[in-house]
Amino acid sequence: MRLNTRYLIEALLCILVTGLVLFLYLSTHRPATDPISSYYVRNFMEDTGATNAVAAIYLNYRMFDSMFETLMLLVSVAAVINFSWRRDHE
Amino acid sequence: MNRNSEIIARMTVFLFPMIIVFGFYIILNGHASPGGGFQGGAMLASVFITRYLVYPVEDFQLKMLQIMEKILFLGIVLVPVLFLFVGQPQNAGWLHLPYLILMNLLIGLKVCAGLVVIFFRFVFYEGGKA
Repeated sequence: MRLNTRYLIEALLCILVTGLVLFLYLSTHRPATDPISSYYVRNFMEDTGATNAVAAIYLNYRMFDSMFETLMLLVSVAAVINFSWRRDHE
Repeated sequence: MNRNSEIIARMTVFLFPMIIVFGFYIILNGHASPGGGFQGGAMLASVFITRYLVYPVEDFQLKMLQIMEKILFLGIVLVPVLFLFVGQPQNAGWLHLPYLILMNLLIGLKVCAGLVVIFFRFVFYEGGKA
């Protein structure tokens, strides 16, 4: 009996949080006609020379993103090198 | 340690050039088709992982790959700083295509080196010898 009420409370909590997240998403949802995305889609070819909009964005408009993404991979390589060692060499 | 299968070893001979050619195709064609540096670099890293499945010996210098990755990251920082951040060169039309291909190539080789280093550190350096 006690277990059932606990499950009931948990299910109610899940439903409440789901409703809250959905309400927040639907009330703050921006329409799809974002000016900057339509600018990218219309003007990427003469701005960057790429025929692929994704490449135009991640190599030209959002260059800092790819730059620091590769830096993140470098940092994770450094972390793996520092935290792994041969145990028979200890 | 001679426990590798003959079938996998023979099939890898046929798979190797395909993986390498497809990885470089994904990298060099990244500005025109789906794909790019990160995806092609992961494919090139899978060459080394397939090699480990057949021949699990560490007979190349991981140190060289680490140094190569750092040099390539320096290139990844320097090329956009010299080309992109000096102001948007709108009239340099023909320079855009070499820039995109060069950046995809640098990112691909760097991701390949990083993933290979991570994989071989996990395989050969993690845990003790049983």
